Amino acid sequence: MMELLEVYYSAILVGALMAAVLSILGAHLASRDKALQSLTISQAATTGVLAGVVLSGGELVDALDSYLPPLGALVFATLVFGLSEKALSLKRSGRGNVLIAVFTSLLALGYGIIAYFPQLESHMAQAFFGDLVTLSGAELWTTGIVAGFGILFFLFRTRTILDESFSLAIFGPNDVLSKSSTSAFTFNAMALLIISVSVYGLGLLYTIAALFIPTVVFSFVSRSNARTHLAYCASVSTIATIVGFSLSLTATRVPTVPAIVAIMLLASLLGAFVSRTYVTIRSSHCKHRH
Amino acid sequence: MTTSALISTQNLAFATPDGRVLAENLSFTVHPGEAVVISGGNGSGKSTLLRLLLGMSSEFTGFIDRYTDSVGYLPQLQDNEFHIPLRLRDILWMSSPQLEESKICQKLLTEDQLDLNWNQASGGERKRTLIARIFLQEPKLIVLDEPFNHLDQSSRKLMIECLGDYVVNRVSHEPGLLIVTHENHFQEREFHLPVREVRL
Repeated sequence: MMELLEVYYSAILVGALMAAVLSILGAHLASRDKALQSLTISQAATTGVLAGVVLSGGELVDALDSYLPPLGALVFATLVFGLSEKALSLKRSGRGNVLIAVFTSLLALGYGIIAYFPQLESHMAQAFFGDLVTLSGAELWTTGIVAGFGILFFLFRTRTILDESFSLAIFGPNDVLSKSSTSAFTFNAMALLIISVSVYGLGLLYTIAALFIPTVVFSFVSRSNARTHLAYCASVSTIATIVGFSLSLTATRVPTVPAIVAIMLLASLLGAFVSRTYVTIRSSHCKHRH
Repeated sequence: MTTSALISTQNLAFATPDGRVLAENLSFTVHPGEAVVISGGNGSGKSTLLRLLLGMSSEFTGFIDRYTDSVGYLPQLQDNEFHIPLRLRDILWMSSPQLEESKICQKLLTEDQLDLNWNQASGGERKRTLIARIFLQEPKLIVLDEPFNHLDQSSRKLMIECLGDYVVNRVSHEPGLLIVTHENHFQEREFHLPVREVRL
């Protein structure tokens, strides 16, 4: 197994780094009530990857070195984000209703592309489930650079992003301060870039799982604070990537991404349980001393 | 008190989406160092007027002039939880790291209250946190939509006192207050500063 880890260590590193970024981004998206919109945008990115492959000739090998699939992911994601924000601002129907309709349409569009270009079927599976094992070359570099940039973005702008997430959650999108804020635009642009590149390099399932599983599970341990919550999310998703990937290398029938997702869920639940138990013991110890 | 205005309206008129007139020929100005209270019953158009004043809607005739972009706004709260666990102290820290030096914040929230999680805090504690947050941002104009809802008498008195203190004691600039409420008969002695009422 060590020999295999040496071969794949760069893919593991990039996957783990992207998982950490996604989990922090997901905590903020969840607090801004954008989980369903993120799923829709991720589906748009998946469809964009397929469109990019078609435009680059439709051949699997060529597509891996073409800029069109990731560009397609970003363009489709941005378009769908813009259109969905406009549709939601009109308030003609509920938020969930609009997004489900868009998601379903994109899913149908994706399958329509596959039906017309059957040679893309394996690429569809890769876009959906991802393949961390084959992450190499341009895909690896693109994913790694965006993940590194994402880490720095969240590290240096923690306070501003958290303040904005709080304002949006409590006051809604009509808060006069957030409406005029360029930091809101920057956050949205970074989120679109990170999600698009992650879907392109690592797949829809990996992206959505890393975005929301750790943060949702840890939200049940409400006595932690923001820093602890974000640190937990990043740690769990990183460890899950490393462990899940290693497991799939040793047990060849275990698929990589589902293994990572399963370990992410288990590790989140375990971490939440340990944290809650620690807080309960600590508070009962304090009460006993008083 | 300086003569420059913070926000003013002239011959303002607006209506509901189905055409019911809410206000006509509405003219008033908020100056630094004073509180303007907009009062009226339910459905009289108070929140609509606020949205117009803050530029969130343009469905009106007449004139609205905003002379400052430095606005602290507290809308009506929807009792929303926040997904990421945040202590009240962290919420204030996000606005200003100089939390410990702020005497008004110390008046509004105790040390124990500051360590409460937002999702566990009461409605009154949340409101006081949001007011303190506005104070830490040091805006020139503070706009409050029904700030006294769901507050008991002592919390209401404390909030009015703190709002008055904020306006009177600010050294760098003289702020103004614009308050929308269904309550009647605010008096200057409650705020310790000039109060004008605009009735819808």
